Amino acid sequence: MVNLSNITFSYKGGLFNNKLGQPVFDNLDLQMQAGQGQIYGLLGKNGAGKTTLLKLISGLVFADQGSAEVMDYNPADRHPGMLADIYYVQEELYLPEIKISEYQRFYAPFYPKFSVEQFDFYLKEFGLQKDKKISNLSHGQKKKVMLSFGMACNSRLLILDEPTNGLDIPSKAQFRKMIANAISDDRLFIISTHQVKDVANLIDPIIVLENGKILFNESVERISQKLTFDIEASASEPTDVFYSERIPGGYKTVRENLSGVESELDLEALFNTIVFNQEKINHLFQKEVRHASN
Amino acid sequence: MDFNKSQTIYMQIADHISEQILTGQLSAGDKIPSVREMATSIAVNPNTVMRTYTYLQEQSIIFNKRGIGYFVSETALHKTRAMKKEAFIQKYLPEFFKSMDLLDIKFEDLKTIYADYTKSKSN
Amino acid sequence: MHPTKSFDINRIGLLIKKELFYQRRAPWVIVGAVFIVLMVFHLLMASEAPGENDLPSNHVIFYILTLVFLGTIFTSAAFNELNNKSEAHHYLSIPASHLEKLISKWLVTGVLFILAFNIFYWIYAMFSNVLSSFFFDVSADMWNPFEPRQQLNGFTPFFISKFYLATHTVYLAGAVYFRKFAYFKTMIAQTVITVLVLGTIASVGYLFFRDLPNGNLAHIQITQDSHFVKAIGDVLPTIGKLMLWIVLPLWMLSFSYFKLKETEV
Repeated sequence: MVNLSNITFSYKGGLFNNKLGQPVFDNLDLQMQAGQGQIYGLLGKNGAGKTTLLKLISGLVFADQGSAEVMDYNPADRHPGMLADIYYVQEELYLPEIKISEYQRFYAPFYPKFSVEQFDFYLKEFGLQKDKKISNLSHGQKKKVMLSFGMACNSRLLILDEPTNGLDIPSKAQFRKMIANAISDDRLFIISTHQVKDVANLIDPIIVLENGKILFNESVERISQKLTFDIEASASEPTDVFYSERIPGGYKTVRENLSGVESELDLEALFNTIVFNQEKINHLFQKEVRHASN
Repeated sequence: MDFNKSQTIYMQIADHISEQILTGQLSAGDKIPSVREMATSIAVNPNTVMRTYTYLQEQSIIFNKRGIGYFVSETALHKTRAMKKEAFIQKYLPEFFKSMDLLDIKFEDLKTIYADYTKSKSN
Repeated sequence: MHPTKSFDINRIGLLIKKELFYQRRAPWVIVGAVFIVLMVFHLLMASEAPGENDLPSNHVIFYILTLVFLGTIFTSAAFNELNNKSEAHHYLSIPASHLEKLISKWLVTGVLFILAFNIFYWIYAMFSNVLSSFFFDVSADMWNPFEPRQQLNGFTPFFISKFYLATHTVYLAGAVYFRKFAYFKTMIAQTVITVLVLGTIASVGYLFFRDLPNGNLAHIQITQDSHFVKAIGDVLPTIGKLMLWIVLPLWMLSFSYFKLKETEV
């Protein structure tokens, strides 16, 4: 559904919009498919280009080089057929000074699969009244309006940029339930976030963006088969690990899964392992591919 | 029955269902929640629930009626108990014995403690 | 493969509905202010008028000035949503094509604006006469922009409206092109371009005709009724009309279209 290959991108600047500075993406490749439970988690450090990548997918910035294809469209065309099948909830929200019901009245008709029942349901779950003016709501409430609207659009591609930012603690659990409920076979969700704990158990596959490239794009199942996440009560720093981190009870460790027994995935530890131990991780996850091609 | 705190989520869900079968909350022929219902109620990715259900199917604990849903099989209780017993002996007991050694608890001591436990339960 | 058409009249309708709803409050302040200013001028002039039917017609200046003033300001604000990053993101993500978005903006700032303006001015003209005859017993010529025989220095309001529709595209293009203060930037750009174009024409004209006082042009004897002058006299107005009614608006609209299409956030 999303197919990016050899994408190069750098932000425009300067007097004549000549390209300046380091490219944000350098020969980036990314394939994403729709399917049951395809809630991609896009992880990356600050400034890694997560939001830029999401904008590139939804046609809001254009690649300098390479080819991009989203639901059989070139996203840079911003074809209405593609736009009607994408909903993008921004991190920094723009919301007009109108009521929630008015927002629905003016924007819902653009989305052929929009469901008023679902919208009402989500708003009710979040405890929002439709006659409230959006601009008077708190940041978290605005986010809830947009998340509700986005999920009710039933677009095949739902893009959420830091969706849990600003949500209060009970809302985070509600949000997870709604997302788990809304995903279906023909849909693809992308959640970009730093708050990995907010979306733990929800995101699968995991994508890591770093240095302008996709470092990692694997399903949770495959990660669990390849890596063991553990808490070890040893007093000294464990050896032979991909990653270890001191915690009150000893050390949090990530090792190669040699026993075949799967352990619970720790997203923060996984991220650090990938970023700090790129080569080992690449080697471990590519092993199987090489076997298969032989 | 939490043998391993760091157990993968799909197995945690499987354990949860097994537990319900062992305690009789679920019995043969009962319908269990659909993948989407289960995913929504515990806020996990439906993929994960699907893996749980596939696993439980492979273990003949549940079965799938096409288009209707998943049901607890006739042999579920028997199978679950056998599985859990196996896990108890293989995983839990070695840990348990290790702790006994560390704390210097003799097997004879256990007998008295266990007797007290059964007595308090029957009261 | 693509069931959704890239052009759909319904979507233009939806966009216009949204535009009008968003615009429902903001312009009233300006409209009210302009109305009051016009009324004050009218009454001042009425108080100075020597006799009953001697109030000079001020519609020529008032009508054109207010039309140009309100129209260019309104049009310059047409793409204000592109000024803010997240607002631009939101607007560009609305499922409608760039052409539909541009047409909706053109219709709102052009056709709908001119209609609303004429109604506004009509009401003003009637109301101002009622007031001036009540206070000073004088009234100006009646003014009805929807009356085909209505004339303004030889121009009908319909012609002026048409002229507005052709030229406001310059400000629409400015609204897409410039981020922030589009109105002033367009005005400056327009002035610079006009000066440049006129300068070029004047220079070319000078080069061609500098020997004209001597009755010489590239060895052609120029007289009042020479073929050359006649030909130029025939062709120039046609070229001018073509430029004004077709080339300018189409050029500005296609410029706006491509500018909108290549806008990134």
